[in-house]
Amino acid sequence: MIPHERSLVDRLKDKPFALLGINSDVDKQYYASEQKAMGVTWRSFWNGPKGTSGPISTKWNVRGWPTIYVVDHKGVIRFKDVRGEKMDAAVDTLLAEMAQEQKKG
Amino acid sequence: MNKLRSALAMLVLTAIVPAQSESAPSAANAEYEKLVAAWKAETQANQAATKKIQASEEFQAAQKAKDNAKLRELMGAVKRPDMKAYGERALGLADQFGDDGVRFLTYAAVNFGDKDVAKGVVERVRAKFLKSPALGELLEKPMGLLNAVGPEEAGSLLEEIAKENPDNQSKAWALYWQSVMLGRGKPTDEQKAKAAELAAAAEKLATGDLAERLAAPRFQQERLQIGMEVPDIVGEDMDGVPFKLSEYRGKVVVLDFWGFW
Repeated sequence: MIPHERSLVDRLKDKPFALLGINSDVDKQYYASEQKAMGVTWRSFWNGPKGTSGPISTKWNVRGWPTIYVVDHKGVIRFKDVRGEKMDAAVDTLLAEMAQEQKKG
Repeated sequence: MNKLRSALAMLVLTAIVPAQSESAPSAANAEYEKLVAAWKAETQANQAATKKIQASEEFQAAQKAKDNAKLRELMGAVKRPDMKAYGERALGLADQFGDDGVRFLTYAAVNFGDKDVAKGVVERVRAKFLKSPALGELLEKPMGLLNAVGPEEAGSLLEEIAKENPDNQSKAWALYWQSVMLGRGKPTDEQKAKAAELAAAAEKLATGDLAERLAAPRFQQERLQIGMEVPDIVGEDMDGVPFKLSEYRGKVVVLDFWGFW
């Protein structure tokens, strides 16, 4: 899970790409120690002190963790719940699409 | 003589009652904080011990060899926090603090998934707190409790709360969880219809978090489908710095609902 995301973020660090978390850890201190240990470099919204029952995941009706949405550069939801290699492929597809559009435009 | 006695009793009562109502909540607070801190320390020690085992050469070798019996044995040696003991402590405190006791029941219900503890919580709610507005808190995360006592007992408890409790939010929670319980597994058409009815009744009464939760399936259906413009998220990061999802427009974004836990 986390090692995979770390490698995706590393690989695409010079591309117009961002991985944003919605983090549901209750204890920020625990988060900070784990973040360091696991080499998490990406930014997360904090889902608040209620953890997985926090406001963002509640509004989005998140029932399973992790839940993933992939959004293109225009802000359109393009993929849901892609993990591992499928997540990489989805991101690569959207980056290629974006490059193609810019070439045309 | 009787008159004198009751007059004396009144005097004693008026002398004691204000003092108690000032000191009881803070005594309850102190006990509550002690309980929470002790449980947190236990679970952290458990996490640390688990990690230590998992990092050991013995564990990694067993993992490599796919020796599940050995893995179970190693994990089994980690001391687990005693939920039952903590649960009983919470129930005892709930009894001790009377009307302020509901928070101990809430804490027990959410954290200690033990059958006897759950039974103790339900008994006390039935006996003392069916009409308490403070029950809303317990009703925010009751799934552990409801599972521990089983669907029948859970259903009847929720029904009683929905009926007896004068607080709309508590009523709404009770109706909501009744609908969740009915919709689980493979519900019949009749159960599905009843669940929808209960959810609709809950939505009429709910405010705040619960209103959001009840609106969530519709939000997902109407705003979160593939091809739709992503709704903005406005919040703050782990360092407390405010930011918005829309600041990332122009980039491909993976949104990942996650946690270390």
